[in-house]
Amino acid sequence: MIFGKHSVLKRGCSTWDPQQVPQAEFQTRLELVRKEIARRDLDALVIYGDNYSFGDLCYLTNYFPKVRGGIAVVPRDGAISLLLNIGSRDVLFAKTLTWVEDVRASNQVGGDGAKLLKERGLDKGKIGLVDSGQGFPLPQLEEMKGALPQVSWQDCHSMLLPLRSVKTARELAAMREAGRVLKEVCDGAQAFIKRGRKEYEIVADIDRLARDKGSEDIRILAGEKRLNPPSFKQSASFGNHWAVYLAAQHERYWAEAGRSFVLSNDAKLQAAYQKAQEIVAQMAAQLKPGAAVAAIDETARRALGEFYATASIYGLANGIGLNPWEAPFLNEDDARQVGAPSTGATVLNEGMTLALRVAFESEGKMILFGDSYEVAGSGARSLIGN
Amino acid sequence: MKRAAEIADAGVQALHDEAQPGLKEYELAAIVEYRMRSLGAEDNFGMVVANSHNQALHPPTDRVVQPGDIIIGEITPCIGGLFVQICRTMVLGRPAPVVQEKYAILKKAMGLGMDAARTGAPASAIAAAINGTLTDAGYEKYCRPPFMRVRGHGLGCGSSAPGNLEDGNQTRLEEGMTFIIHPNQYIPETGYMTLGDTVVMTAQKAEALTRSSWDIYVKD
Repeated sequence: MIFGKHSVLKRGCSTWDPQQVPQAEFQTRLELVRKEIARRDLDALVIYGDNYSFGDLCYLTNYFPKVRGGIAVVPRDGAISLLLNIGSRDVLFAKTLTWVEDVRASNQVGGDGAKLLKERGLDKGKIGLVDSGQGFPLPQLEEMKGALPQVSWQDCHSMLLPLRSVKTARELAAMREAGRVLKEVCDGAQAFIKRGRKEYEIVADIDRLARDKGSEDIRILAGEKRLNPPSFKQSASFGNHWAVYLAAQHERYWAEAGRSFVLSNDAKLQAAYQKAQEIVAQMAAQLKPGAAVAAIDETARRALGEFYATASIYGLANGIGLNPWEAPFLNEDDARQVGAPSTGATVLNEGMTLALRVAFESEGKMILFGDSYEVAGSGARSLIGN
Repeated sequence: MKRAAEIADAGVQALHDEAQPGLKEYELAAIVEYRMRSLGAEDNFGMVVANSHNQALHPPTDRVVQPGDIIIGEITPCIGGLFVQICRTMVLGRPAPVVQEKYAILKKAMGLGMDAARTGAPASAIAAAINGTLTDAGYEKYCRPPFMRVRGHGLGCGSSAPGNLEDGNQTRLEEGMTFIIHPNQYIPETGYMTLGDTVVMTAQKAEALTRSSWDIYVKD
């Protein structure tokens, strides 16, 4: 599984464009969630999110934690509340990122979460806990549960995943916008990749390009022989070959791409890169409504042959959306690596979005190609405009 | 950490060099990020915001920077896993006299905070010195959240010893400790302004690792 280096603070453009994803969209989502709450005979949900795993929290509230985590309290009826591990001075800004009106600051989300639940009359109810990233700090979770001995807790970690897997028209538009930004970054990156430059200088250029285009977050892994996160140790001067993994988040949604830059006229490397692109195209051809998710893996296995094992280490495919790695996964190992509870859907549906990638070694160099796709009625459609 | 401090100063310089009206707030942040990454920074706990009256520091938005804006920054590059922080304020255009007048309080607080940072003294002494300066200037009721957070905190690998510089922190300052002293403060007449340096404790006192001028940078 490819993991971009996780930064300590999300510090790209942080806004909410209500034209792109209006409040009505969130009201629709809230209704779907409440139907599920009712079906499970719950009184409320507590949804946890942090800056590493925020998809569930963000799906409902549009809020995206920048540093530490927080919870949304979603009662069966009535207003929902956000309790965030932020300073009181940060509440004003937090409110600009969400449609939720009741936004509170706390440095003790467990204890204050219990007080909030009591305040809402939920201290004797049946409450579902949604924490698909398993990020709720255990001491805080135990404190919250300990302060509410009469609450019956139910694990609902996967509850929102089916709701998130098929994207609405607005979500797809948001992802195409993320893809458009990423395409501009991929196209622009070519100009920075020149022989003799330090690798971290090139990464700095690509990072700035993405930020100047309004990216909320950007992940870059790059290298000649393996994919490395940005580091002052990347002081090697760029030679003739560089593989780069890029993932950009724009207004909450992610798009991903992988590219290899072969500056030499090495025919074998160029042929290997061409092969990687063809294999991804074959995998993408499996992205049809009703097709099995497993077909992606089977196609890759046949096409990659001896390179399948290496490519699998980086992950061949996964869902992408509010999280750069989300269901559907090809196997349980991939899901477990990112703390996801399951592989998710086994059949593709129109509106799902996936990242496909192929990474292997050729002539001692890393070859990487990848793209993000929408499962359209007519088959795969690139989100990056390829 | 000395290397990270040089990079932090370079980030401040980049903002001075390139900030101008018409840019978006996130482009200002990208200016700083770019300069520091170009020098090898691996990460950055950084916030740069601009407004005629800033309410607080926060991640950047798409607001378009205007002439007269006060740009505040908390810039925290990382080298080899070690973080260093610098906080500075600049103005695009000649600032109103009240801005210089109120910023002078921050400068005075910073100086007294540095003086209070003596080896063996409690961390709370620094907070007391800073809070005392603001109280003397009539801002006692602003010396608490949401108008400020803490008067500094540990730096290096995370934010550990000596902990937050606040009332009640009796942790003794020891040689080798690294932390930031920052009298960052919301002032009703001007909005939030920032000033802070990362320091290392020597056998006697605190010495700044970051070296940019404490003065408000005025960019005409």
